[in-house]
Amino acid sequence: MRTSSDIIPSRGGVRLGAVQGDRLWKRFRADLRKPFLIDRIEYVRDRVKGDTSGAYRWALRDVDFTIAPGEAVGLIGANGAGKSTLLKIIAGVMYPNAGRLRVGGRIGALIEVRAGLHSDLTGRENIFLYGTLLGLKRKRVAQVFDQIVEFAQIESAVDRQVKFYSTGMQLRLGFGVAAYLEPDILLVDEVLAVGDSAFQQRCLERMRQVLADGTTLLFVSHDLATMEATCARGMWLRDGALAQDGPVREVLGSYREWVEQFAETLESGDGPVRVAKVDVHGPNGGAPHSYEPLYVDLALESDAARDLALFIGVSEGPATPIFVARGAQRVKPGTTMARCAIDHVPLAAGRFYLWVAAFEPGTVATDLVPWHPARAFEVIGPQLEDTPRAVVRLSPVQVEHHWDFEAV
Amino acid sequence: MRALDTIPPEPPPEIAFHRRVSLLGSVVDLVRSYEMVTTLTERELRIRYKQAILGVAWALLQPITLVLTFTFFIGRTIPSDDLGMHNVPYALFNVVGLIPWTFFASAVGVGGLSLLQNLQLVNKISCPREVFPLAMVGVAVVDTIVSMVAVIALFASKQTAPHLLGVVWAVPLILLELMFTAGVTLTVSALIVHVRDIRQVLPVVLQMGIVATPVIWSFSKLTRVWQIGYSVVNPLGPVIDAWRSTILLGRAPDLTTLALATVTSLLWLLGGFRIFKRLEASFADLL
Repeated sequence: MRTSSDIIPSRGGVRLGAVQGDRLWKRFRADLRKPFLIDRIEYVRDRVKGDTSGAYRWALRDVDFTIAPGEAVGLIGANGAGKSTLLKIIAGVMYPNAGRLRVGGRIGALIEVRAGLHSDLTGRENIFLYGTLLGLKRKRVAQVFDQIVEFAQIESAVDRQVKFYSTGMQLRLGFGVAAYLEPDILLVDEVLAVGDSAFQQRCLERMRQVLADGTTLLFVSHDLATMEATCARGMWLRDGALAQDGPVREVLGSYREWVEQFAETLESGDGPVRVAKVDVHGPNGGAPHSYEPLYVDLALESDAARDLALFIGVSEGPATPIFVARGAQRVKPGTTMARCAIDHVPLAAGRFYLWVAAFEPGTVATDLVPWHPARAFEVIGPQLEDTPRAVVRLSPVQVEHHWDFEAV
Repeated sequence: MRALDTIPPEPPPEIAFHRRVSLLGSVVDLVRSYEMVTTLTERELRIRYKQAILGVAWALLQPITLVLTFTFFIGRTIPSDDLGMHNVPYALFNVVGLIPWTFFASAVGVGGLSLLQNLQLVNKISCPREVFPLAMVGVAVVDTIVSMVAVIALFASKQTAPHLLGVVWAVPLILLELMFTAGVTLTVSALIVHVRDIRQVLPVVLQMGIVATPVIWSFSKLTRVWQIGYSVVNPLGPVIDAWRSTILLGRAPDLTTLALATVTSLLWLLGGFRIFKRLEASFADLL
């Protein structure tokens, strides 16, 4: 079998499916968008003057890791933390400025929507082109061709140029090409979020199959629940540096905590109504427990007497709320204390966000306090049972239930 | 968790990444990626020659109109003695120079922009990046073969048969021009990524080239010193002169200028490949 070490001579030297990054550094020019002669002259002038400040920005700083064949690694980090840059370097599209990278085997990469698709070529031509790039024989590509077309659902469009494809079709073809042409290492960028949920499920399904076949997976996503369900190991990039590398739950935990630091500092604004204080607690003032009562205390400040429609919600991450509760009250000028009591809180153990909003009721509701995450809180309780990988997303809600089994 | 503030602001110099590129290794990679070149070439040609008859007609249009224009205005103002061509019709004199020039100009003109035009691939897949400019050289080869129809028609209309000596010399002359063209195309396509202004300058230079290259005038009429100097700068001069000597007159070409042209072409090819490989590592950063 041909490996990518044949394509790029200095790569390789590790086992098939392994990725080894050794103190990787990558910088970008600050004036990337201006590759004109005048910029070159300015650059040379600055260099002559000895002024190199601000000319570069480090996108990756001293990133050190070893990924064993068959591992499933989730790569997380805020936008601009260097995730895509790292993927591109592993894919062999970019080169690091310092450090060493060794990659064993063929790489299938889905980087940005179109992956490596050529928009002037038809779907069919693209599949064969990518296959030959990976070093597969035409005959071998022909064998998986139908599977790719079926996965991408482009049967009727396979002989049309890719530039006439919808974004969804391009994405499906890009993923199909990357994931079906027998890669030893599969790189998936956060683009999956662009697809609809049915497609996302099929991608996850395919990723699980590929993992089961022993392929190494490196997966970038902001969907932490999916990542937790798919990957065993997490790598957290922060400002281009590897902040944490370990079991996915631990890494995601630290990452969430880090994100919350910023969520907690969110101000509720200085409109006519302000949420001055938010507190979430159990019956005795401590952290709430699963199934036990949970109280949300709010201090509301209003500049005038008015009708208020008050909403609170709970979410797991910075996403859709798990549930919301609505309250209505006419408030007087000054401070009003509001308490919402939930008798049996259905949340499993973990960290959650409390969201708050206030509206002026009427035909068109006016925003008094916009819907925003007001604070994070912890729920104490039993850990959820592990669900099979990626079959079901890990659920944040646990409901009271019982089973009956009866032989018939 | 790692303490991030222990990371130095710059990587220590001893771990700096140096891309080792060996000429042989690169050529091997390129040969392995030949299918990429053929696919890209095929695609471009298919777009161009989609309607078989019209496609060929468009390919012929440019050389035919140029030959007619040059013959009409220049052919009748320059006595054929001044071309050193005995009684060879000007149209034939002209077309034999025009075809090598058109090949070069279209390869450099289209191939030079090929990286910019394929940035979505350059950015996302790992392959020897020279496949993009070289595929465009391939397209120019096919276009030139198609334009042979015009050449044959011209010879037929003048009831002149080309000399067989031209066939003997065809292989070295074509190789020579291919080396030069590929070298220039590689150089231009790589530099254009770093200095985009070249995109504006390129058409101007190519336009000048049709006059600066002996397409409408005769290389053999230059003084010896000029011929030698010219051959070092532009190998197309002696190449066109050699085509004219062999095909039109049945004479052996001037080996001195041709040897100089060979050296220059070889230097362009090796130098262009080197420059390309040197700059290749930064393409994805800049596109």
